[in-house]
Order: sequence, then C-alpha cells, then structure tokens
Amino acid sequence: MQVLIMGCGRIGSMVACSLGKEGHTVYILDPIAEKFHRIPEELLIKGIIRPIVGNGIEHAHLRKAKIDTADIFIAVSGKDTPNIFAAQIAKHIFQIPKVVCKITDVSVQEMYSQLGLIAISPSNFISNMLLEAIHR
Amino acid sequence: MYILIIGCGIIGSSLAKALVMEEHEVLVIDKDISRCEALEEDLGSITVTGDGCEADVLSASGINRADLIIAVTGSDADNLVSCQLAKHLFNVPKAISLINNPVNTTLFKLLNVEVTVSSTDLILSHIEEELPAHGLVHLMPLTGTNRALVQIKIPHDAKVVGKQLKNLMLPDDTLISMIINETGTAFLANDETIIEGNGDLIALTNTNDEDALWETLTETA
Repeated sequence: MQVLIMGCGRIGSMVACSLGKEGHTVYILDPIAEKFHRIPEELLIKGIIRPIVGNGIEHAHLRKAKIDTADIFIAVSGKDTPNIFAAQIAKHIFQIPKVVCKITDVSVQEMYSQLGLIAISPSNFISNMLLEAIHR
Repeated sequence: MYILIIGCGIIGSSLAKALVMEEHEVLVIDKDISRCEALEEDLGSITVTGDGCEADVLSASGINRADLIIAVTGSDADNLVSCQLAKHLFNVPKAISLINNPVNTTLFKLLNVEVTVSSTDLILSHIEEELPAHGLVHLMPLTGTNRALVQIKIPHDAKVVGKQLKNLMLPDDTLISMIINETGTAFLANDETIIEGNGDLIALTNTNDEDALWETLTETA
C-alpha cells in the first residue's frame, strides 16, 4: 500500500520506518529537510521511504507527495491545527480511504472523532499508560 | 450580540471597530500581543492574547455565550479549526471564516463553515500596491447581513481630502473603521480623523450603498 505521512518528527519517522519495513511505500512530508536525517539511509536509498520537503496544508505539496494515489494518510506533525487541517483535506478533498490524525488536546480529539476523523490523542494515551504502570 | 473575532490584523481590527460602533459586545483573540495592544489603545480592553485554535483559550473568552464567531487570521487552517471548535464544541450558532487561499473554498464548504473569499491575499500582503481601477475592493462580505467590509482608495485630489470624518456626508449605514495612509501605516478612525489623499479607507457598508460611498469618497474637485 502507499502511505503518506505528514511530519518527520520522532513519531512520524518511527511510523515511516515500521511501515516501510512491512513492505509499504511511504512518502513523508516535512517543511524542514534536516528532519529526514531521522530516517535510516538504507530505507531512503532503496526508495522504500521517499522524503518530500513541503507543508501538508498545501494542496500542491500534498500532490508532490503523491496524495492522489495514497491509500493511507497520517498527520503527525507537532501541531494540532495543521494536522487537523491536512487530515480533513486528505479525507474530504482527496478522499483517502484511511486518514489518521494526531490531536494532543483531548476535548478537541473527541470532537473530531465524532466528526468522523480517526483522531488519536497522545495525552490521553500516555496518561492511561502512566496510570496502568502505577496500578500494576 | 456577543461577537468573537479571531485575528487582529487589518480586517480583524476594522471589523472590531465597526461592530463596537454598532454597540455589539466584541472580543478579539490574537497570538500577537503587539497587535492586541495596538487595538486596545483605541478600543479599551477588548482583546485576549492567545491561540484562537485552542479550546481553553476560546472557553476562557466566554465562547459559550457567543452569538457569532468571525475568523479572519491569515491562516486558513487556523480559521477553519476556530470555526469548527466554535460550532461543534461550543455550539456557537453562526461561524464565518475568511479564506486566504481560494483553493481551500471547497473544503470549508464541505465542512459547512460559512465562508467569505476575499482579495486579501492581494491586498493585505501588498498593501502598497495599486488597487484596481475602480478603487473599491471587497475585503470581506458579511454573509447573511447584506453588508461588507470594503477598502476604498482616496485620490490625491479628492474633495474629501483634508476633511474630518464627522464632516462627511456618508450613506446612513456606513461606518468608517480604519485609515491606511500613503506610507502603509494603518490606524483606527474616529470622528476627528482627517482623510488623506492617496491613502486607503476601510469601511463597513451596506452593499446597496457601495457605489454612493465610493462616489462620495473619490469625487474630485
């Protein structure tokens, strides 16, 4: 499958590597080229992970990262607002079958889940993990 | 009405001024403290410095009792998220958003956010550039109200040059909210403000009165 990831931070680069190793073709979009140093060179050389410098909220940049043929879109940049905006472009304009979006603010994440986005809140997730660790 | 404006640039502050003059309760939210302070110099404490895309900031601004939210920042992503939070998280009855990049119009419409496309891209980023021949540009139509925020270029030899705003014969429903002088400096207008030639003027007006307003302001001696 063809995956497009927005944001090559710690999360974005990890997800890209895992999906690449599973055999998917991964395009990864970030406005800062230096962020791509997080991707192992081997995966870049083999063309398994394809870095594109650009911003996920711009249609033109999304097209450069082959959004037209993507099966999955994952928005995991460091900021909620661009993630939400790009995810909605992917879902409603490019009609990507599966769109996943990171939203830190829990109340906002719940709202967008109700609007049909697959939204994941790290704050929610981490606090649950912490509680679990404490109660163990 | 209690109206929340997100974005304190030229459009946001002109709108705030016009709506305050109409005796609405207005609150303007912007991330940039210097913009907020500039508006407060004229209108008193009507701003909150913060991110209008954050639920906490909106909540602390009393969005729960807002009748209308108008998002006019330079970022379409920010405008959309503010409006969606207002509508879906806080049940604000009406949300209007400015669109900076027309390519985003379809998305806003699909998501049921009322939009108003403006020539802002052109105007706000190149405020020093010449306006089109007619000299009247719609900055932002206020959907559903029959009114619009317009920008009018004042000719250097216009009859109104040198006059105070209170001495102008303007159409009834028109409020002049901001003046931008020849050098591009913008400031909020009051009764004593004097019209300068080659400057721009921003006004909230009834769309039926646009032509009359334009004629009054651009008639030359």
